[in-house]
Amino acid sequence: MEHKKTEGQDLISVKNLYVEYKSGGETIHAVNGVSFDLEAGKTIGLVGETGAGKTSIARAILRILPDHATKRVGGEIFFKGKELLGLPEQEMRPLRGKSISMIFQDPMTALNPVKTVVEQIAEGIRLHQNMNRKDSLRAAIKMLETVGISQDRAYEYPHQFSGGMKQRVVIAIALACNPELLIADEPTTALDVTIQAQVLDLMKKLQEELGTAMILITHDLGVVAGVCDTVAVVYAGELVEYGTKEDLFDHPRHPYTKGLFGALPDLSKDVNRLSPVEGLPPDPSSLPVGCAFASRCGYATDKCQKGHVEMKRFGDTHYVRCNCCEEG
Amino acid sequence: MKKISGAILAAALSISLIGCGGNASGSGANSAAGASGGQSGGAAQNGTGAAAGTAASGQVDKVVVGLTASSFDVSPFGTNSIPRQWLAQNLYGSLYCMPYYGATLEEMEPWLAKSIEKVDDTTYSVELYDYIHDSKGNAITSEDIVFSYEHLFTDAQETRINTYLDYIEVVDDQHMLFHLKKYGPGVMEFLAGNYTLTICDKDWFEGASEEERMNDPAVTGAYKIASYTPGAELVLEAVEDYWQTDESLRCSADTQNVKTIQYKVITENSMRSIALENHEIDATVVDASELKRFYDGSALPGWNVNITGGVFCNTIFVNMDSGKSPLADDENLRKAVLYALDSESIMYGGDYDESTAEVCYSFGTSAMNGYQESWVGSDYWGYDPAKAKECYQASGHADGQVTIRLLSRTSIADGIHSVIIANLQAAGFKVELLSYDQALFNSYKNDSSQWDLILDNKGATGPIVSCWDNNFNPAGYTNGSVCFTHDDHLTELLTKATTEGSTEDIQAFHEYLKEIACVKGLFTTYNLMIAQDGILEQKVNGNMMPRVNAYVFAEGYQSVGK
Amino acid sequence: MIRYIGKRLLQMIPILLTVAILIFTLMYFVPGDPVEIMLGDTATPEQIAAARAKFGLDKPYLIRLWNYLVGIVHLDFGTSYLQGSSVASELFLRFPRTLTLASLSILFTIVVGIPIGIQCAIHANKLSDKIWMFLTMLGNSMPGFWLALLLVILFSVKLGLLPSNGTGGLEYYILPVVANSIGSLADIARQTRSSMLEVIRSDYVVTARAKGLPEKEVIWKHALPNALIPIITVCGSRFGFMLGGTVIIESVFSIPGIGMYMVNGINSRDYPVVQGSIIYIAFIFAFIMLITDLIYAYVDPRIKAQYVKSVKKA
Repeated sequence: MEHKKTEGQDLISVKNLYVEYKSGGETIHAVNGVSFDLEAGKTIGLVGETGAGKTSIARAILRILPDHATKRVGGEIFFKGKELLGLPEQEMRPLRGKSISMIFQDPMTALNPVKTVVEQIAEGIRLHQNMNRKDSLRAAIKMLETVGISQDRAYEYPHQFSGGMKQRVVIAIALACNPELLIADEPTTALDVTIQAQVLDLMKKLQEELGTAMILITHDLGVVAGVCDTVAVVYAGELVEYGTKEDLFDHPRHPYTKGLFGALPDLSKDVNRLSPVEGLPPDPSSLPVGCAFASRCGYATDKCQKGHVEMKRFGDTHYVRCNCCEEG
Repeated sequence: MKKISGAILAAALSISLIGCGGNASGSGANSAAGASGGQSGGAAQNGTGAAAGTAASGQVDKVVVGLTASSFDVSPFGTNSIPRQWLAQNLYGSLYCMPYYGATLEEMEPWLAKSIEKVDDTTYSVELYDYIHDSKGNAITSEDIVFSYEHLFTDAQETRINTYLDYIEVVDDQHMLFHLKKYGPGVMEFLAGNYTLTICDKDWFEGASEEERMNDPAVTGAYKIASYTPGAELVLEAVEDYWQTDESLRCSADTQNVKTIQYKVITENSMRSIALENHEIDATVVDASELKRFYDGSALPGWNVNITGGVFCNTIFVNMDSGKSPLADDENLRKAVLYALDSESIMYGGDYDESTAEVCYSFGTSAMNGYQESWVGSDYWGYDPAKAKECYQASGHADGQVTIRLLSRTSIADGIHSVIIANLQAAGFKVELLSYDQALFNSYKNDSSQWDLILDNKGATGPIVSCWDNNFNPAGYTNGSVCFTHDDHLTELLTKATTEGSTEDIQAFHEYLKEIACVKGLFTTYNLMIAQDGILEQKVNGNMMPRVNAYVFAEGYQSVGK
Repeated sequence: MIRYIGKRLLQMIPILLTVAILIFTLMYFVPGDPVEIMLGDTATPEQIAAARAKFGLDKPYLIRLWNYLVGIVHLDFGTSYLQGSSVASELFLRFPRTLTLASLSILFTIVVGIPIGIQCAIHANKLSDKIWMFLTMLGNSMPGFWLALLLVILFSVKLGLLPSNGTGGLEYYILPVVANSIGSLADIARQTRSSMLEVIRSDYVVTARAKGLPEKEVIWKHALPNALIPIITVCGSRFGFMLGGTVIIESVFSIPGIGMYMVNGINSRDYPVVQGSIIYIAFIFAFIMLITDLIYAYVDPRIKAQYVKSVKKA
């Protein structure tokens, strides 16, 4: 709503997304009015702590939120002009896996243990590209090679692969049908650092080759730096800062964002202790009135705790949800 | 408290009996059971609930009969079982045929033997027909008779052959002499044609494989095996070239009123009744609890009902082994027990009524030969709770001080146990019920340290003296008798009764048995045979069991079975 | 994999021998003996003793055990005291009937129970779930005998559609199978429901949905195969139990199977029958367990890998 981009250029446009879960009689407000846009071929990073609501946003787009626990999904999501949240299931399904794909966080559990890896890839291909079994398997094998898994391992089962290889398989599944939008939910969090780099490189390479747009969810600022074009900082189900990579890395404005960067250890400095952001995120079942960050914010005023804080714009691309940051 | 509730229970039962106009004297009036002297089985109660037509002149095609047990052996010398008692003599012949329960030798019908003549008390001369052959063409001669009797003892465990028969002396192919070990009513009758005796050809038997003996034996009777599925079904077919071609010489056992007899195993009581009502079987034996579906004083429409028997006496014995039981040495306590037991209520406790059972007035049943009419209604330990209590107190014990162990079986209805216990408690006893399965019961019943009172079913093959002999003859027991009596006078009277068997001898034994107060016959239950009403008469064999080959069918009878 | 199967088959031998020894010993110590039942009331003590000697029942324990084991090894299970027929041939004859009854029952249970469980898992805690779970519990609580009689009264007597007892064509098996299966339905349905509930929340199920697969395929091709392991276990043990002989059903419907045979044998202390039947049941159970384990390997490749590894190590 606050963004002035022309609708036609955006691949996907999330407007005022709300997601509420129900748990033990209480309502969990996971996502509270999130809006952002993404152009074709570009990458946006969704950064935030665990429990900030990033995965919920991702699943809401694909409409794979857990039915039994979801209370309400509000807002609109426009994908190539189509509004996704109101779409009937039969029309949503062809988009999944074909136009919009997802890479999950935990490669150890994301793959079906009783099916061969090639079959899991071929399944999607068969479904969306109308090939027969033989052809789909061949295409799947090719996809495996693209992600760096040799052909003779194609008929093995997930438990026979290491974590990093499994994630490559997941990537292969996600990209097999050449989707326009890829949602990667913390794809490297479960992997060790050396493998992380490999997987990220692979993703970037494929993204460039195929021209896929990507929503990259992560809590790792380093990953953001390497891959993303735009960045959105998520806190307590809201975007608190949103802009290009340069905007955020060079001129962070929101106290939370500043805190995140400040928490990073800097090799060039000689510091005895890390300086994390004090306190904990609020309980999503009882969010405070006013700014959700106020209790932890060094700059908080009375105004911050009274009413809802609107996004303020700084420059063409930079948006901050804060009362206390001024132009500059 | 127990005493009071016991008394209330006993009182309630008595009141309900009076209220129903209960037939306190039991027997006589409505049962088909013979009085002394035996009677053709299946007479009085054989009623059909509708006009069913005239008897068939020719041979009916098929009849389907429900068998009550599944485990049986049809080979020539198989072990005894209820199904085998029904049908062994469909397949195999015996010297004479026992036409009904309790028939004497004179009343029995010649079958394989042309005649059996008494030479002296322990010797009988037997003459066979000279043209007997089995279904596979083997001739039957004296040699085969000797062979069969031997195997009946060794294989079929027919112990009475060993007890009664000394040896058979072969004179020639058709003539032999039976030398007996003892004599008396029922002895030669048993050896001549008890319903369990079977004859087959020696050479055939020795040459036949196990399989052949079980599934396709050479039969000397009027029916052979058409098909046999163990545990499920046995189909018999009338032997076409049966050796007895002279129709006038046929007996009850080789009448061929029906061509095919299909015995179907249906072990579950209620399922048999359902099979009858569903017209899946033509005839069967039902349990007392099922009788009301077919009979309410007379047969209901659509059914033929034959109530016969009973041949087993439910009896209470008192442990007479001195020192092993409080009852053995104290006559007062024994009298208290016997007066306390109310046979009629006990019978009702087992869900029986006057149409399915009757009270006994001796150790034996009214169907048995020798059971005196005069005993019926006499004072045979008649239920007298006041007297019971008196006797108990006369023994000098306080109420509840004497504990009695009652040995019984798990197959006995709980109601029967309850009434017995209530009766005894009313007199002042404490009762401990020891209820075991048949096999365990058998082990304990001969052990005098295991029980004070025992409830058992005792039967005989006809004469009441056989029943007494089976239970009180010291030769049959390591510890005196069934209830451990060591009474020479009793044994003396028993020997007289079993060898001479006159009315006086019988009366003497009965009276003395009463005097020593060691046994009380309670009640006997009838055999209930039900058939579709197209069967005009259901005949029985020597053990009051269905003699299907001799059933009388209506003209043009069609079996309901497929 | 072949080596694994071979190993398992060999393992059955010591198991069966142990069972044979145990059941023999048990029957030896159980009081009561077959001779008195066979001979009846009229036997004298001498005759009883002679009969005991004839059947070898008076020999000491170890000798009898030895003779018995020697017989077993030659696959001779002796002859029934009461029926005179060879125990082995009787078991052989009766087995197909029990097998048919058990197979049809387990098939019925699977075909009806698993879909019920799946539906309940998908609609967990909603009204339909609660109703189905209640109905299956009802089926589980009904006494088999009572249910069998009710079915007979309804379908056989009142409606006249099916025969009330006996064996023969397929129609004779319908009522027994239904009466036999209703009790197991609850177990299978519940197990399916809880396994599926676990699996349905798994990540790989979400992956499958995210691929765009129709929900039906997600449930049946992705969720169910992973949920199968505990379900197979329950089915396997139920089937083995049924094969052992469902006495009540056999008794009500007069199906001459193994159950009736064994119970009659126990009641009359027909030792060869009881011993033979128990060993036979042990064998069948072990065999069913082996088949179940092989099915696991077929369904879950991780388990197959385990098996192969376990044999390699040996």
